[in-house]
Amino acid sequence: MKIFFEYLGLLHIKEIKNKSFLDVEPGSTAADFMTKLQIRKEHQKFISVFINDEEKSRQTILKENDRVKLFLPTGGG
Amino acid sequence: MKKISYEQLTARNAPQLKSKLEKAVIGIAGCGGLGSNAAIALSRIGIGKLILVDFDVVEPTNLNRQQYFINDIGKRKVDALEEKLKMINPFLQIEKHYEKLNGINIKFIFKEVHIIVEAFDNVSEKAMLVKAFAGNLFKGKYLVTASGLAGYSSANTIKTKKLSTNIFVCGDNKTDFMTEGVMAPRVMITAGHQANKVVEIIDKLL
Repeated sequence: MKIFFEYLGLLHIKEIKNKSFLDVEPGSTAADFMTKLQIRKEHQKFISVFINDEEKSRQTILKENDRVKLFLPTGGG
Repeated sequence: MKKISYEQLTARNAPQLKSKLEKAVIGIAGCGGLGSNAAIALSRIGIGKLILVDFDVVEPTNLNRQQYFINDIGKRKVDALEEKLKMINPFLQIEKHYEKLNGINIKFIFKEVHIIVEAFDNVSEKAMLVKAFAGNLFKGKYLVTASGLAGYSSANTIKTKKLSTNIFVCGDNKTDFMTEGVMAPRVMITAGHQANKVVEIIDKLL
């Protein structure tokens, strides 16, 4: 199934275009999706997951056509 | 000190905001570069109440971007900032918390706020605050966070973006202080974005 994926922050995701449609296995959670993207473990704990404009837990199961946004804040203030 | 009226202070504000700003309660999570600059902007326009939270004291290295002076060094940031805010706007109500925010005290400290300005410098604290909005804890409240304000690359890359229905992020989402340093111009621009988003939300919410 396809989802729309966007990320903000320095995620270092290889070969994935930001703001694009991606294929994911049906039944995948947001956490499974992050693992599939090979996001570093040390980054994963700081990432917030937004699905269809709502913040969700990483255990949320993704659905067809979901708009998934991952946000990793960068330091400084 | 000379006396002024609230009407004089807010005379140049957008007229439709008058009663709304006075009613607003805003949380400032961290009183460093972002927090001190955003708080001053909000104080100037006549915001009703600010809840200031910071566990730190003013250090010489803060002066390149934070709204403190040499004679503030060693003072608690919440105290030094309160002094400045009161010199600008004596009508402002201020509640101070000299402590570190965590997943437990956050819900009590920010219980009455309409909007929280996330102004930490540390990634884990920023993430903690954004994640705290995932459940029902802050239902009906808004968060204006910041990410990517380091260095001195083009100021035009700093934007305000919507993360969810009640969370916005200001910054370029790229630059990091560990590699690029952090300085007044881009910090103040980002804090300005945060303060402006607060005003936009207040206009719609109150």
